[in-house]
Amino acid sequence: MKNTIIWLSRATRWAALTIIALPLLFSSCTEEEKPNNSPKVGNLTIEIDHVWGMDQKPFLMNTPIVHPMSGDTMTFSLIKYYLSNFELIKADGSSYKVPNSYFLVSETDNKIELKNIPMGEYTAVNFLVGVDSAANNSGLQQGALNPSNGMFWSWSTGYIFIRVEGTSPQAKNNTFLFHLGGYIPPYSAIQKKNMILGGNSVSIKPDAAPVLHIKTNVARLWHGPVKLADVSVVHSISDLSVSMSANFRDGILFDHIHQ
Amino acid sequence: MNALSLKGLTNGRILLLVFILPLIETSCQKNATDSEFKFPADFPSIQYKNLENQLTPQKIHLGRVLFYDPNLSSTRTISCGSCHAQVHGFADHNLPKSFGVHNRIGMRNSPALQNLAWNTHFMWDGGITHLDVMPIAPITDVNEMDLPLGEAIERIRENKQYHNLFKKAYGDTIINEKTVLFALSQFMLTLVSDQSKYDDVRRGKTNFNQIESKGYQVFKNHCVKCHSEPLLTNNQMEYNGLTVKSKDLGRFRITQTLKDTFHFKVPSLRNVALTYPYMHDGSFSNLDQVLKAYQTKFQLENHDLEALRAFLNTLTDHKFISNLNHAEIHPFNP
Repeated sequence: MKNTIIWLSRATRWAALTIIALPLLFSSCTEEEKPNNSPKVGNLTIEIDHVWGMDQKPFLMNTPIVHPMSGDTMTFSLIKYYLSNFELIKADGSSYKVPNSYFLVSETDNKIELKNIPMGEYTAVNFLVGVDSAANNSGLQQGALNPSNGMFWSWSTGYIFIRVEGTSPQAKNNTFLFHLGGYIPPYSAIQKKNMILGGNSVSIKPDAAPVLHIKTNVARLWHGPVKLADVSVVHSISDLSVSMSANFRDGILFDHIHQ
Repeated sequence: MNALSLKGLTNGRILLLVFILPLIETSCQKNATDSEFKFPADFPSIQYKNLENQLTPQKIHLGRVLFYDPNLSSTRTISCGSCHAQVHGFADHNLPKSFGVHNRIGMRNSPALQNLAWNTHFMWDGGITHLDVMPIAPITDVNEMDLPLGEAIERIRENKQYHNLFKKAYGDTIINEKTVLFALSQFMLTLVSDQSKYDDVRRGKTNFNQIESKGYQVFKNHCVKCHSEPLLTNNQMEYNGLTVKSKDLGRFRITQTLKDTFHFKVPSLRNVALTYPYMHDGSFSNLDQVLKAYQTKFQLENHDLEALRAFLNTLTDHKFISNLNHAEIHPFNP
């Protein structure tokens, strides 16, 4: 009698275990099947190398470097800028927009991870230098757009797209400070970049970890040149904010793909 | 009611309820708050847009504690309430410009905080476009509270007594820019002024006396274009046509557009008798000075001014300035 009870209870235990375990088994089965039915995805890393001038000298922080056009000696203490709204383009013109892709880039935070991109061969990457007007204007944002990141204008709602600061003997008061932003025309400093991958393509697939290497020529900000003796401080929307950000965009160039 | 319906249910059903209850709870909570706070039905629909930030008594209360917390200034001496005093309709204590930390003087006259749910632009130049990010300006401004936002959040996080308030409000103790600023918005959204004599007349509960009635006509002839009813502001940036003595270029600072020079946000006239001195720079110390300035502009008779003044006094909302739900509290040091 006692034994039967134990047996029964053992049986129930097994039954219970099976009931618990079965869905787990099924779920693992379906998980394996799913990717076959839905489009496969992969990731892309974008690595940004910061350079100085057309001849791509290394860009150095906290070290005096001479601007190739203006001749101003600049010692950088800070550089940060937003790249956002990434879109990957295939040769046939079809594209994939990476949702919520906002990245705050600096000389040390220089890797961007784009995840869950549909598998395929992509020949171009589009993105914004800056932040789209909707994100500027829809209240509190989190992550890269958190207002505590020092890239938010508290008194005139919107983001600083490009922020560079440092010292220079040519600048008034020996310091330069460029906070470039603005999202309302005619002072929109949002700059669209269409980057063709030099006739190559980057292969996105589940088991690959491709890296797209691009170069940002920081000196390009003062292309023209903008001389620090004339202007060393910009911290609101202006014509200069528009032209400098456009120049900065033009200094961001495709380098190579590491497949 | 929940307790009653739970009676006689089996465990399994209770388990089911555990999943369903949170879904129902939001609507229940809404009903609970309805008795304590709701936007006036006869006002336009609100402009505050944040579906994620539905009002709850717990979040409103948290916002109120934050609003009156001087730890949000670098010197731990100045709270939002320091320059937005309930007795003055949430404007400053009759200072032309407010004192920030180390007695630094702010750029403009401290605006009266009321009916913010209907605002699309904040500050005298309308530079801020969402209530949720509005407090970042006074908290971080060097002449006001002078504290980096991240440090302000850190100070709140370090104060263990806050944890319980956040838990009650949000269900956990996550303290960040979002949970802090959303709660501040909640409290500010409840600063609704709609109980003045003017409102009673509007609702047919009472009548203006003769002189107030005449003043209302003067108001409708000359003022209502900018101070539109019932909020008594059109929420636009306008040039009031009065001499501007300061170097403050107003809206131009935000748009860098010449036509916006000397344009400032039209303040609501609600509680106007309490919010002196007036204008963006506090340059008019009393209502008579303001009315005299407009007398020339609109070619008004002295008796028109007298009537207008009587009407403006009907805009004082005594229930608003004595509402205990808005009063200063310091729950951590009673």
